[in-house]
Amino acid sequence: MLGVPTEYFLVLSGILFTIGVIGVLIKRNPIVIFMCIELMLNAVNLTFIALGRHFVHVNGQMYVIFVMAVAAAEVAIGLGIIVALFRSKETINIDEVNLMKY
Amino acid sequence: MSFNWSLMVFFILAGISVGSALLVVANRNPVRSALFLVVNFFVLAIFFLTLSAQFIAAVQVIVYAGAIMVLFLFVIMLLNLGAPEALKERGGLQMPVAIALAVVFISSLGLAGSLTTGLPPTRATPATVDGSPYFTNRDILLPADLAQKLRNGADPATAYLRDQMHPEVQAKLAAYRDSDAPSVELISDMKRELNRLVDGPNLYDPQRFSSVRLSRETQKLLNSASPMTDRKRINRLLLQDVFPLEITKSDQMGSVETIGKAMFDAKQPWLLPFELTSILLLVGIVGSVVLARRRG
Repeated sequence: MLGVPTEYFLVLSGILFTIGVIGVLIKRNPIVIFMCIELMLNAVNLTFIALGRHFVHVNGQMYVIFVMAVAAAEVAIGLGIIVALFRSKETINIDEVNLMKY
Repeated sequence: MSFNWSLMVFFILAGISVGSALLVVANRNPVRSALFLVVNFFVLAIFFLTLSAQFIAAVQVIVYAGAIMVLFLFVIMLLNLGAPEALKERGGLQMPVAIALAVVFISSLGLAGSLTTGLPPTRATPATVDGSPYFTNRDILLPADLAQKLRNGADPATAYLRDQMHPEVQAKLAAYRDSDAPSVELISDMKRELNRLVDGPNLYDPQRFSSVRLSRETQKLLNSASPMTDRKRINRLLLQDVFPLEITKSDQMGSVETIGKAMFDAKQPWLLPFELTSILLLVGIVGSVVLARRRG
């Protein structure tokens, strides 16, 4: 897609990132919150790759590899925490999991 | 007026990705959210593919759409959260405040974008991954094959290129034996001579290059470019077409080869992060085992 200006990709990734932020703020289900975090990470990946193409440099893609590795580790741990939480509390509603708050 | 097809494809795909992202947030059923997230990941993989990031696109499908989504669906099914009424969304102030914050966020992004002077113009046809038309020693992938091809000069293009080289280098090439590995000296000699050819006058001549299969990029540049400004780039691309396997090609920015070279290049900062990532993943494995252990 050489005909598409890089700015369009940046705007698209800004929109996707914002949708992810909204999801993190309004959802009560921690699994969906995790999905929204993935959405935000992917929006950032799109920025890296679009700018990597713009400056004709491979470094943009190198960052994405590390973002993906961290995202995979984060999801594995996060879902492990959710399962452990469900086991001890029988619920995963974010509003009822407030032990650390007080 | 010519219609810009790639722009139209971009807008269709962007619409799908924004729509599926909105549905991830709007759906009450987490299984449906997960499925729309898969749609979003696939569309992003297509974007990566069109942005010359082939390897990342493949990894996106394998890691995100494959591994991570299976993990999500598995946990949703395991905890039996599929029922839409399982989690009531709480009303109240949260939704309007979140949307107001989002509006503030995206308008500050827009403000920041309008305050900057914009991106510098991109190089329309990249000569190499780092933008330079010149060869480095690492660009010569198969030095033995390159030396052999130059020495034999089997087709008019290679014979012409050899004849343009410095007589000393020509003598060294003539003395080269197939059974030896080319010396470091010979490799840098060949690199220097190729760079001299890049620097020199336009190498193209229809008759000379009749037996060479020109890439589409080269043909496009030959037809469109002003011969004065793009001479070096044309020469570089022509040399790549004459030795398609022996030297690095410029359109390989997102290939496994380029990424692997950058990853394990001691001059670039990626090797240590790569090793640290393996430690991170190890910690992740230990962490999830500890979390999953049944207590007392």
